[in-house]
Amino acid sequence: MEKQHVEVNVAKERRKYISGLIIAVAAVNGLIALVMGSDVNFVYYDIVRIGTIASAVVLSFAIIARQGTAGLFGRAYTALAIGLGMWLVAESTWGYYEIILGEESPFPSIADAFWLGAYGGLLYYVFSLYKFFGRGMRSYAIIGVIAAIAIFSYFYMQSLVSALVPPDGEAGDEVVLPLAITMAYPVLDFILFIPAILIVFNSGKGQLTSIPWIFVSFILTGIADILLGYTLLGGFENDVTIVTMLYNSAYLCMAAGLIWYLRFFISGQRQILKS
Amino acid sequence: MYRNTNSEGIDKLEEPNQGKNNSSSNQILLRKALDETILSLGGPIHKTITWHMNNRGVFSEAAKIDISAFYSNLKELVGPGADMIMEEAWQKLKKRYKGSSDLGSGNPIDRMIRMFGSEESA
Repeated sequence: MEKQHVEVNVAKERRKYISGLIIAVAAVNGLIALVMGSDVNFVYYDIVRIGTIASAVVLSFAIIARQGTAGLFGRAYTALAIGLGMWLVAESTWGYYEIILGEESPFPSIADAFWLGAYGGLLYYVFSLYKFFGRGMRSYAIIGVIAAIAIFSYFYMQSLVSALVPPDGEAGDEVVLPLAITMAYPVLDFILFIPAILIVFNSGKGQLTSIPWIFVSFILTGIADILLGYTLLGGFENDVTIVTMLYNSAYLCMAAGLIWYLRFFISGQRQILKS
Repeated sequence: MYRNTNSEGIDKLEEPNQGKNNSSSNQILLRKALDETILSLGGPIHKTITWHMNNRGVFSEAAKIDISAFYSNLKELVGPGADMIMEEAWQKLKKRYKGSSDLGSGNPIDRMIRMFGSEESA
């Protein structure tokens, strides 16, 4: 028997998804704003972050279950799921220290190993899909993005190094590992930024692929990492509220992008797309 | 695990019969090259794109594809990714094509059109 098909108005669906994402981000970060004055605000911060990244992890594994691991997209989304899974473990480890043990998470900790290890999967995802989504980029745009990121990263890293390395002769071996880990985050973020920004610039030109939310999510995560660096330097008087809100926004944006992919690109449903 | 069951009859297409109806044979080669390239993205994506192409009438005739219509529909569906698909399909087609390999320069779509245009005029 011939399967029924459904008509989908892509522009309407896009507006619906964007509204849904904005509402979700406002609700989650509204909760964060409500508890920011509390002495135990970190408990809510941790739980909400674990919840938002967990939603993205569940969706990424649902994608693997539906499309398998073969093909360009199959491999890329498997790598993404592994990376997101490692972020969930890292966030949970961080939460375990703060909520269950009631102490500040040590630095460096096992959570850093998972956070940094996740970049393997995430970089594979972004660079392998850049072949597909980054087609037709003008070379001046590529050079411009690389140059802007290189200049910004130079000044950012310099400020981190000058703040973290003690004055001449006082730097001991105990500084080396924390410094290396602190520097590793922005370095990996800046590498991730380049294809992600280029893909976002090149997006909006395809009914199935018009929403680059997963790549926007990487950019938001990178910005959150950079702000966290400033927080560590005392720039925000150690208040991580804004950083937490940014991480939540990034994780929800990731989840929204995964829902779109699941719903339209690999839905298996017979959809007639209308612009 | 997903298993592709919807290659829309492409597996049933005959191998090109050299010397007899070259144009049709090469159209089959083109269809196979496009099919394999889209399949290399992943089974469900192949299924999605094939469904849209069938629905829009682009794949209605297995042995004749309007390259320009295919490309513009693909671009409408997947944006810049269409260029990657066409480039990879062109590389596959070039390896299997038995006619003149001198198809000039330009993008894959222009070359494919030239390839089939030259056959029709011959």
